[in-house]
Amino acid sequence: MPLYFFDVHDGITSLRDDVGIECHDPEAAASHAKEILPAIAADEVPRDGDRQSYTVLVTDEEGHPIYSAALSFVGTWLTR
Amino acid sequence: MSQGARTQAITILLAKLDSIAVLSDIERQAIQTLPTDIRMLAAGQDIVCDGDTPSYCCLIVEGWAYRYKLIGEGRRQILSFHVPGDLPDLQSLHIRTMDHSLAALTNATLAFISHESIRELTWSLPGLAEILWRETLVDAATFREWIVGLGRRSAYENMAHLFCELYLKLQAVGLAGEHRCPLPMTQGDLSDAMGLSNVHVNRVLQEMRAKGLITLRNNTLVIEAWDELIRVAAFDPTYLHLRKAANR
Repeated sequence: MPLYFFDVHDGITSLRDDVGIECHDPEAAASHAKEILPAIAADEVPRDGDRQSYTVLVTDEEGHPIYSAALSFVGTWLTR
Repeated sequence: MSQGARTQAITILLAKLDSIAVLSDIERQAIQTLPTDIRMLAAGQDIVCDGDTPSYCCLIVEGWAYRYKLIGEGRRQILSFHVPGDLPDLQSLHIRTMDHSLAALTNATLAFISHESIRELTWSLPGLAEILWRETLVDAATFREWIVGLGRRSAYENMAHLFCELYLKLQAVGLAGEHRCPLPMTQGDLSDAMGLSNVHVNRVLQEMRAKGLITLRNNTLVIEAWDELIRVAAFDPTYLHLRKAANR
């Protein structure tokens, strides 16, 4: 199975995935991106501010980007 | 197999039992005469599989092992990591059929001890039966901590907790000190233990490094800020039931 890499950017730092994950095909890689991005956001959003965004760039073994995704959290205070 | 490996097996088993209980001289001598079958396994090799009905238990003499369940589509949950001195399938003495698998995490030396020998030992020395029971209870206590971690701790807290646990377990059998210990698992193993993706584990490790909690190099974990790591994990070593309190 081919390797795919998932670089995650959280608006401040970008973390390059140098390990990668084996996926059947690009669809499986995209579906992995759908799993990991919300999981990372769920874990990290509560520890930070009211505006956060997470993006993932999926690349194949040759380094070609094949998929990207973004999630954002926007919290608004209504009592201030 | 070499006498050296057997001596090493008995030494590490005694160190392990000493860490959780007080052994009498007679119990100590009985352990020393326990027949063992020493075998080497390669990293990744299964020791005993889900559904097997083994007639022996194993003692880890050198290297690491892990217990796991496979749940389809290549998904794996690692249930526990095991270090030298552990008897990770002791339950098979009383529960015939394995309900999970046990594999070598690294190249490992194992001492297989037949159920028959353990039964003889525990029938003749009930005190040893109690100590082995205690060992499986500590094992269960560790699972309870993992449930808390998987269910309620953040990834960052849970990773910190795991590092505290592994360090103290290794220290108890003399395999770690000065806040430094071997950590031979891959990022993939850590993800399967913590229910996270590889990428997520990588992020957590980077954050721990950036905050000066740990460094990881050549499969060695260096805890740079033990007190802070304990604070982050809200780590309470009671569940390990080690006789000597956690040594800072």
